[in-house]
Amino acid sequence: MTAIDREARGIRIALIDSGVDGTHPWLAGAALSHHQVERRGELCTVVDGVSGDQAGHGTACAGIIHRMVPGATLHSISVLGPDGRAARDALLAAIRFVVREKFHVVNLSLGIDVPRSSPLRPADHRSVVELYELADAAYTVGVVLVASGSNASDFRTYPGKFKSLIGVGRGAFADTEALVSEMTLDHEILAPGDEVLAPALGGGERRWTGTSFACPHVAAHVARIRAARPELSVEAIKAALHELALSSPRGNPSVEKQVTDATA
Amino acid sequence: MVSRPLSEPFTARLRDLLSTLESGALLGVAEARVRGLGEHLRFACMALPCSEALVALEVEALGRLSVPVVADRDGFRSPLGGGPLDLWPSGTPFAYLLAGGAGHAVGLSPGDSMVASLRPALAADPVYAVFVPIRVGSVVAGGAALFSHRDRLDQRHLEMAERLAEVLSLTVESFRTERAIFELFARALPDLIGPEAPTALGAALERHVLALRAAPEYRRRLQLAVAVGRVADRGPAEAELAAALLDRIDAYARTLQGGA
Repeated sequence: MTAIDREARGIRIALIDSGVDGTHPWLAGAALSHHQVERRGELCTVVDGVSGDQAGHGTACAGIIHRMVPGATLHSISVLGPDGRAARDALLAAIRFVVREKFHVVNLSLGIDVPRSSPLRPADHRSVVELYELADAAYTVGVVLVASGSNASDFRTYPGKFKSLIGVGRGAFADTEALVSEMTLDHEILAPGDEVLAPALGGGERRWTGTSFACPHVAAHVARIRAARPELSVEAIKAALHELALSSPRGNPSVEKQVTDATA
Repeated sequence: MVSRPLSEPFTARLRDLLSTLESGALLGVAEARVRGLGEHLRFACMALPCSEALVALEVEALGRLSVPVVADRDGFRSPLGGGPLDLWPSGTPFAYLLAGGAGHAVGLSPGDSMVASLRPALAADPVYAVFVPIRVGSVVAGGAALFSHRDRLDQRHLEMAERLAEVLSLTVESFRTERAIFELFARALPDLIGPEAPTALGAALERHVLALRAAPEYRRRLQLAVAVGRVADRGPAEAELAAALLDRIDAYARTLQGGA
């Protein structure tokens, strides 16, 4: 394989989340643009936005990506309205936008969680079908969607479950570059998602735990692959990612033991 | 069926009764809900290394979040010594949860701005927190937060918190169903009875169904109420039907106020 461009220069990464605070020190020097989903009557549409994050989550994900691929351009798409809430159709509108704009990589640490014990409700079913079609469209046009899987085994998370995209689970890895292939019905790859150091709103940083924070690690790896081999299809990128996992640092046993000890 | 003349005194009595009914019903249901949520949260504090736990639920009409109860291992309490704590989701982790975000655990620093708006409800500064969404049907109705003042909360606790949220959602779901039905009738009946009524009952009910943003399973029940409204909209029978409905709601409210 061609040498990986670790900075991923020229790669456009979309981050669908709560917005990004571009003034955070972790993002100093980052090439950033801001968009937001706006409701116009019955329809949601993506418009230009401003730097800002209403929940802190998007800034944390952006910090992880920028730390790993400082040469990539980050495009924040906030799905939160001015009141800090978002409808499901806002999420769908954001995904539609990133597919239409053909971003190289899309980080999606958002989704629909459905209890495994429950049947899909009609509203969930409609959203899941639409997500499925959007994920298929992304695959067809070569947009790599990277989506977080569920935190708890009792849940199914969409679109993270779909096989047309890259579903991400989390592991307790000391090395931020770690990747482990794990093909399941819910995800296909594990990345660091436990006690991940990332930005906190207000200029500081904190430790975050959740699949949401594993997802940007994988998005960054995909960005490096795309920078090195822009001609690769989504399928080939997935294969390259799993190849990378074979040679990447595995879960650090000492960290896993530490976590086990702490929870025993 | 109870029959009453549609007169001014009746209209006035109806308005008074409806306002009493609405507040009484909400109070009765809210108390039961808070007890249920409080006990679940207390159990979480006993089962997990967390010192305090709370839920923040969406106040649908206002866009705010309300924290009705905070629990620790010893029991549960109102966050502000008698009343709920109200906050806007913006700037809190709940904003992300309401947007469909998944649960997550975080480390906190002293005086951390992430929990600043929740701090008045807590006994001490937490060092770790877990935030998980509470889903009612396909809608995220709020979130639960577990706080530790000393121990780390990790991925295992996050998983357990996700399961706790499922239990909490059942309590919230039951409450929201009751409240939706009551709001529907309480708001729409004056439109029917009042001499200055600007809209017909059917239209008013349909408007409120939409306003409640009800999930499909509620919507089926509420659409039944809309159908009743359409029948009642047709003429002289309207007053009798409204009065009968009123009596039934009245009886139901009495059972709630009696602690059922």
